[in-house]
Parts: sequence; structure tokens; C-alpha cells
Amino acid sequence: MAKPVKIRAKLKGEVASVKSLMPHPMETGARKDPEGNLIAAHYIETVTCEHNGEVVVVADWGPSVSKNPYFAFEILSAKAGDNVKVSWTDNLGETSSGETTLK
Amino acid sequence: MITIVNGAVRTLRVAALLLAGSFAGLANGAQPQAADVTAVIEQARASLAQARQLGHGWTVTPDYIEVAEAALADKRLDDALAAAQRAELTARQAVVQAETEASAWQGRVPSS
Amino acid sequence: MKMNRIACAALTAILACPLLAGQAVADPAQDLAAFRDLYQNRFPDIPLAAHKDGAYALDEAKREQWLEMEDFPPYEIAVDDGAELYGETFPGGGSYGECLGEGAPAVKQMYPRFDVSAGQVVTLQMALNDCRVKGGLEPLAYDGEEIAALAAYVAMESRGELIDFAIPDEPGALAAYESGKAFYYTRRGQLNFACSSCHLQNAGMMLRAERLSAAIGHATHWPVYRGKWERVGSLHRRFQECNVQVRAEALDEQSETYRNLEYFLTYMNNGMELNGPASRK
Repeated sequence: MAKPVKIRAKLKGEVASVKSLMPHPMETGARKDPEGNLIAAHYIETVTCEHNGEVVVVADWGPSVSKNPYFAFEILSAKAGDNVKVSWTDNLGETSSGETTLK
Repeated sequence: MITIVNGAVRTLRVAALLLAGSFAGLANGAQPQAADVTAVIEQARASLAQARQLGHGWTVTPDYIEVAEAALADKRLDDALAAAQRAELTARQAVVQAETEASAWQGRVPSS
Repeated sequence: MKMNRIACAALTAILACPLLAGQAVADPAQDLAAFRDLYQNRFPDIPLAAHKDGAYALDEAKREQWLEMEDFPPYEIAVDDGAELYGETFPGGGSYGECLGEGAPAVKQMYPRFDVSAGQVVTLQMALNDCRVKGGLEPLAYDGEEIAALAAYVAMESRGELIDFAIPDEPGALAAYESGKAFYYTRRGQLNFACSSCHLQNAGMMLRAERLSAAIGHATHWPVYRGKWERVGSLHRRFQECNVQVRAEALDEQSETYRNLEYFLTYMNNGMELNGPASRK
């Protein structure tokens, strides 16, 4: 069961500063376990950020991003009550998301 | 067994040091035999045990022992002896450190 | 060795200076006063309390980067996991809260403490495992992520509490303190450094690309999310790393030696505010 994305947003005037923390192992597929076996690749491939249901950011990630990635972005022309959502899909087909309402 | 706490594989570094460093060889200058190497390795193990008993084991000693044994198995006796001697020396130095430090540490305690 | 004794005697005679001569058996309270004076004099413009932030109290650029991370710190995931673990009831009845007692989970300031009946130093991690065993659960591995998460949660809840304890006037406790103290000031490893070499003598100086932090902040902010570990780890894990870095063999987490070391170090941090868990490089 994938853990939800932790998300925080601050609204200053019309600019929303959004920060997210995504619990994810982000395995490259090149690491070995203590017995010497390769640990299977497991990393986020796509991150999608939505503002009131409209996609504003799409990020293509890969194995070079570290474990439990932190991702921050700004939305220009936002207002209180707006919904912000960050979701991801990984190479194994797992997904998760987190959302918040701007205050 | 190499303890990988930092993720650093020290054996490779140790082996590189041996190639770069000078080689002491046997005291009488003769070609080392497997028995000579084994004797030094045993000495190193004994000193390492003593150092550990005193709480002063050095990480490099078991690494040198491992390199020595690998070289011995490979019949590279010069390399094996060099590594064994480094193992024995570092273990012996660790014991000296333990003995000296038993009282020396007090000189570092701050006092007003 | 005769040579050493002669050398030592000569040195002591020459260097018979109060600043350098150690005492055979000192009063912990005296040790603490001298410890605080050392850092007060070394960093006159930095209040002692500020050293809870470690190297970030000594380096403006690093501090800025650290504060940015604190905005959404990486240890939050472990704290959430720890909260979940903490909330579970034990199969044999009871819970962590009931077991840890008054003020739980804000109890980090109660550890480490000397358990007179057990005759040993008890750390937070040991207490958590004791609770588990009493409640019918298997103890957690001390180097694992679950015990780290539990400790992170307790640390978070205990933020703001002050370290404030006395060494009980009891031979076992004093011996544990002295053992930790001896370890701290003893040179070890092929590189021949003592803990004090970096964190007392050279606090504030650079070691490769890192600023050496003062020991007076060292017990406040554990456990720590270390970027290098990519997870939360304990003070004992850091002891292991420091030991290996000077090429001394590391001991197990929660070994008697490390618990005594933690006991000494925490006493030296008396009066400091708990600000764990923390993020570090």
C-alpha cells in the first residue's frame, strides 16, 4: 500500500507555494542486498500536479531521484479555497497522491 | 568479513596501499614461504584479539588479514607477507594505544 | 613500560598547569562546569543554548540550507510511522503510553538514566523494547527502522523539554559515567583521534568540507534523519560511524560501552533543550 503524498501550501497574494514530500523507496535497480542480489527497480516515473483539477505540472522522473523525494513548485494566480493535488505513478504501476485546500 | 558501515569497501583501498607502499620482507632477506606468512597472520590475529579485548580494535587490521589470506591462497607470497606484516603491526600499535591511553586520556579533560 | 612512566612523570611536572592536568576522580558537576566554560570561551558570541543546532549554529550558509529543509523535513515520514507504531495496543495488554509512564510520550528527557536495580544505563530505545517485551511483543532490532521511527515520534513529542538530571550518588552510576567519560577522551583507531579531538579541541573548525560541531549540543537532537543514511538513525549509529571514520572498530548499537558514552554525553548536555528529531547531512 503506497503511502499518501504529504503536501503543504502557503498562499501569498496570488502566488501559492506548494511543497510535497513523497514517501517512496526510489530503488534504482542497481543496488544489491546483503546477499548480493539486485534489488528490483522501483521508482516514480511521473508526477502530476493539479490546480482545481487542471494539470499544471507534469514531471518525468527516473532512478536518479533520491528516496522519499521532496518536490516544490509555485502556482501563479491562485486564491483561497483552490484545490491543489500532487500525484505520482511508478514503474510498477503503483500510484498515490495528496491534496490540500489553499487558505 | 568486511564491515561496511559507510558503504566503503576498505579492502580495495588497503590492497592499493600495499602496492604503493614499500615492502619489508623477511628479516634475513630470504624468499618468504607459506609457513612464514601463516606465522605472521597468526601473530596478527593474536594481537588483534588482545587489542579488541582492550576495546581498541582497528578496522584496518582485519582488512589486512583478509588481503593476506587472499594473497596466500593465490600464492602471491610477497604480497601476502606484506599484508600480514601490516596486519601484525597495526594490531600491535592498537595494543600500545590502549596501554598508553589508559592514563593519557585524563590529560584531555577540561578543568576550570 | 618504564620509559612511558618516566616520560609521563616528566610531562606532568612540566605541564603542571590546571588547564591541562586531568583529575583522577572528578565530580561530574565540576566536569560539567568546566565543559560549559570551555565552549563559552571558545564561542563567546554564541549562547550555549544555540549549540543544540550543532554545526548550524556555527556556519551561516549551512544554517540557511538546513532551515529550508526544516520547512518540510524528511524525518516527518518516520515520525508518522512512529506515531502509528506507538498507538498500537500490546497483545498482552497495555500500551507504550501506559508503560513509559507519566508525561508519555513526552519522555525523552528521562533518558538515558541509570537503573540501579538493573545495574546499567537504560536508553530510550531500551525502554521502548522493554515495554514491547512486557506487552508480549518481540523486541525490535536496535539498528532497524521501526525503533528509529518510535524514537523519532517520542523525540518530536518531547521537543522543548530540558535535559536535567543528576548522576545518582551510587557506585554503578558513577562508574557508568566515568566509563563514558574515559571513552570520550581516549584516542582510538589508526587515526588516533578521541571524540574530544574533533568536538572539543577543534569544534568550529573544518574537517574536509564539514564544520565540526560542539559536543555541548550533541545529545539534544537525536534520532536524526541523516541524508547520508537516507533514513532516521540513532546516536549510537553515529558513534559507530565516528569510530569507523578514525578506523576504530565499531560496537553494536545499545552496547554497554555506547550506553555509558551516551550517559556521559547527555550529562554534559544538562540544561540544553531537546530539539529532535533533526535532519542532518
